[in-house]
Amino acid sequence: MLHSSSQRLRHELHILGAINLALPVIVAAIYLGFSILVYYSARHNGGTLDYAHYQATRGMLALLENGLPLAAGLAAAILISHDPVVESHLTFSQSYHATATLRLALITLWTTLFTALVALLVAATGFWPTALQTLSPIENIVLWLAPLWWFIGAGAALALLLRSRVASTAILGMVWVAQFLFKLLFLQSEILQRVYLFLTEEDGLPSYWLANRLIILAIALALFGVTLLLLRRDEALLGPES
Amino acid sequence: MAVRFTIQPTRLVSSSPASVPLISGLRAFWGSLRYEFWMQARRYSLWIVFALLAAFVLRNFDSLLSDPFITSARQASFRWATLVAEFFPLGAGLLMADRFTRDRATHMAELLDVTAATPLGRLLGKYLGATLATLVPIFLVYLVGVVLIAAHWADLSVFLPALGAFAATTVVGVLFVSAFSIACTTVMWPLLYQFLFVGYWFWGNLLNPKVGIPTLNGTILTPDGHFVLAGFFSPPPGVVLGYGQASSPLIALESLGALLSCAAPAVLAAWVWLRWQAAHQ
Repeated sequence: MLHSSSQRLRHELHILGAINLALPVIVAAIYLGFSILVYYSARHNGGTLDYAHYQATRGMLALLENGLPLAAGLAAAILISHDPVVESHLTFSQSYHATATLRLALITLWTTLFTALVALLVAATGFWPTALQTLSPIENIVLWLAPLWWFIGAGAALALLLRSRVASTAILGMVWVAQFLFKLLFLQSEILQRVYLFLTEEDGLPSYWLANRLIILAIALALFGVTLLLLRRDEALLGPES
Repeated sequence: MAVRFTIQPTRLVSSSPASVPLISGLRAFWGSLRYEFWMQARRYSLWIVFALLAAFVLRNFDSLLSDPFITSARQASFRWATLVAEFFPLGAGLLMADRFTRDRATHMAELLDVTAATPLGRLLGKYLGATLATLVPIFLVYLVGVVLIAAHWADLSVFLPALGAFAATTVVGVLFVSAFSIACTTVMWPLLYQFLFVGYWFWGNLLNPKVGIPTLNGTILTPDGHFVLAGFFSPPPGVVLGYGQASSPLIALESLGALLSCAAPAVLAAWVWLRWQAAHQ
């Protein structure tokens, strides 16, 4: 029996598992490693210090805009659709909906705080891209918050909607790669450019950048809403595809 | 909407004498291949993922047909083959990432371990069966594109080279990534593998090899198979996606050999690992 909310919180953190909690840290280390590699590669090939610094800032921006959001989305998809004792839990007085919402809130909170910390460190160490220094503090937050929450919302909603975490993670992965592979298609379409997830990484912020971020954020909130609604359908939580 | 499968142990196990390991292995391989094929082919998620992807890609198919570099149905089919090979094996690799871990999650692995079905036969059967099933929806999407190309150019002779192009690119790519999806998830958390796999796909296929960090893109280990396609079919410059690297039949053979000879040791290494694990349990 869990007697206090702190015990409950500890229990849920345990359920989240080390890999879900560690994944953002591992991803940050990978991107940092690649950024350092890019920095030294640029210097080694005769690039100026400014050019090498610019390449490293792009790596850090990529971490904030596409690396951590994908990791968070995958973790959310796995978490929301994986509970081996869901059948038992559905018989408890404590609703499964509340438990799953708490877990989603925890993973969202953890990845948001971690991404905020990374953003602060990037800015403090002088690796915030020069082109973004005209943005207001709120815009600097929306920059990474919009794709982060979009991936979390999409991962959770798709996992419940399709009742398959592997389908959800596959779609997230393909959406992620599609942003690069079909970039021109996205940017040339007036509709698709408003939902292009990695717009900040383009050289020179386009006039619709803020609208893009706000639309993505709105979609993310709508996806959270869909997730919460789906969690209320107990029968839909049983018998996921294996 | 839950998908239920009725396991037929007699097909997989069909007890052959343990003293004839080759026959036992072949039976396990064939039984596992058939079972895994149908199990994967019946998954809703497989079809949903590729249907969504197909809707997105085919909606913008006009841009391929109106490309100024493309002047024939044959060339259009080569471009279509490289586009499919650059994107669809990614989904295949991600969808394959839970095939091995599923047996552990459902405790089927323990049950099968006590049968006469050899672990190597089961593993190879799982790999090939699930991979072939994953190729089915990809092939159907590809076929729709080839039909559109044939209709646009009024050229029915395009089907044969299009089939060859599909085998040279997507089939090789899917065989390559599926081997690692099966092998890596025997030792790695699937979540971590999936993230690393998406990152690898971007790094190894989409990064420009001429600038920035070193990448496998542009080497014979590029899994989208454009070296194989360009080497065997010699399309004009600009038709096959990539960064303009030259190819030849010899380079095509090298690329094919390199990709497949990486896939085989990956599966075998997984088998060695599983044997070691079983011996130390």
